[in-house]
Formats: sequence, C-alpha cells, structure tokens
Amino acid sequence: MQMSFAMGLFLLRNVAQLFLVQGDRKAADTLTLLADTAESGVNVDAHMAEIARKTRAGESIDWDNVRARIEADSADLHRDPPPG
Amino acid sequence: MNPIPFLDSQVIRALLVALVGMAGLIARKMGASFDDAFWNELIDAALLVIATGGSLWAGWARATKPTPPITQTAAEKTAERERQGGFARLPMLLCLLIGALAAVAGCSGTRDAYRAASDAEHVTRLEATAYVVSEHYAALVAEAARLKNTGALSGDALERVRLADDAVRPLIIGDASTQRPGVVQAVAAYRALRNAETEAQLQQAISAAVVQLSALITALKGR
Repeated sequence: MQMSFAMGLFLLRNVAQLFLVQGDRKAADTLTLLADTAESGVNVDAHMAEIARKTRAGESIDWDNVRARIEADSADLHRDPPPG
Repeated sequence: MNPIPFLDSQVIRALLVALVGMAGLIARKMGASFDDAFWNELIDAALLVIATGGSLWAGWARATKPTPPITQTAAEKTAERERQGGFARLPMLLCLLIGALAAVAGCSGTRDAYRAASDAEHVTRLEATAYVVSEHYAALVAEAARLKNTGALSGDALERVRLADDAVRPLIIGDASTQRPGVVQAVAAYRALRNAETEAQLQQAISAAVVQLSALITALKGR
C-alpha cells in the first residue's frame, strides 16, 4: 500500500473517531465504511499487482495453493462469529 | 427553523461584552487615560477582565447551550444540514477524495494482471487468464472474510456477499457434491490433454466465473 494512501486512511479513521467522540455515530460509521472499502480495494489491487508480476516473471502456478486459500477464506466468510 | 432575535443569543451577548472590553483596551492604547495612575491601572485590569470574561462566556455558551440560527441564511443552512442527516461537508469532501483515490489505486494492479495474462508466454494465455481470474476471486473472498471479521461487513450485506460467494466458488474450485468442474479442474484437464474440447471447456468455465465474479464485486461494493 502506498504510504500516502496509508496516511489518508489513518487520517480518515481518526476523523471517524472524532465524530464518534462527538456523538455523531452516523458520520463516524460512514467514514469508517469509506476507509474499509478503500482499504479493501487497495489490498485487492496490491494482490493483483503481485499476480501480474508473477505472471510476467513466468513463475509456475501453484493451483493447489490457490484452491486451498479460496477454500479457507470462503469457509471463514461463511463462519459466524461465536456468540457474545 | 426560524432565526432568533440577535440579542437572544448568549454567544452574541458574550461577544458584545468582550468587544466592550477590547474597545476600552484599544482606547487606552490610543491615549485615553485618567490623571491618577491608580485609576489607569484599575481600569486596565477591569477592561482585561471584561474582555477575557466575555470570551470565556462566549466559549462556554457555544459549547453548552443550544445554537439556534440568528440569521435567515444560517436558518436555511441548518435546515439543509438536518435534511442531509446531521453531518455536512467535510465527510462529503473526504468521501469524494477517498473515492477518487480508491478509484485510481483500486484497479490499476487488477488491470495490469489481466493485461499480463493476455501477454503470457510461459503458459498459454488461457491458463494465465484462468489463474488471474482465480486469484482475483481469492483476493476478493479474502477481503470479504477480513471485513466480516472486523465487523465492517454484517447483516444483510454479509448475506448478499455470502450468496454471491456461493455462486462464484463452485465455478472456480468446482463443486464436489455435484461433481461440477470449476476453472481449477478445467485447467487441469486442459493441461493434460490440450485439445479443442478441453480448451472450449476451460473457456466456458472462465466465462461463467467472470460473470459471477462481477456479481461478487457488486455485492462487496454495494454493502
């Protein structure tokens, strides 16, 4: 993640905290959602940039690894957090 | 919301008091004075107390008292702000800035990966495309899981993403219960045989996966 973008996210989350302290939960939630969405986009893009590099470098494709990661993360997505 | 009379505002009254003190201090600086030094010092001290007290009163009133609008312009802006849901321009501006930033940062690597697949030489373009599509899905589902675990994805939005994931996953890694092959199995078959039939199957598998992948992206973005 680029440093400037990381700083932007940090600032955004701090502004969200300020709104929360002021009691404006709606504004805080909106800014937090924005930060989460932006961070997710950057994470996915960073991953894909690495895939682009591997593809160009001619690295062999480990399909078992791809499959294992998908199974694990998909299972995590569908797992409900423990109550309480 | 209607504006209140000017002097009904505690903040304005406090500022007027502070202004009186400041005006007196300015007058003293410009030479207004008594013959007796004691009275000059006493007046200076009193004016300072008045100016400071008025400022503190204004601050206290602004922090602890309701702030109804004083002018029609302020009344209109207050009403507009309430229509927006209670928060105003800074978050909106930040929203636009972050949105623009994310739009730039959020897709250049992904575009580059698909471009790299189309330029691939060490494996066939088809296999490289299958790899990029699968990794794109892997990255999205990993982020979806992270968002769920941080609490940023929950409720109906989480259910929509889970449904979208259920639609994509079998198209990528296959479905053991129905013996339906996904992109991963289609790649394996293609690598083993490399004939027209397996090539067509892999193309179909990738096409089906891409359609559902875009639905997953929409579900994630639309949360």
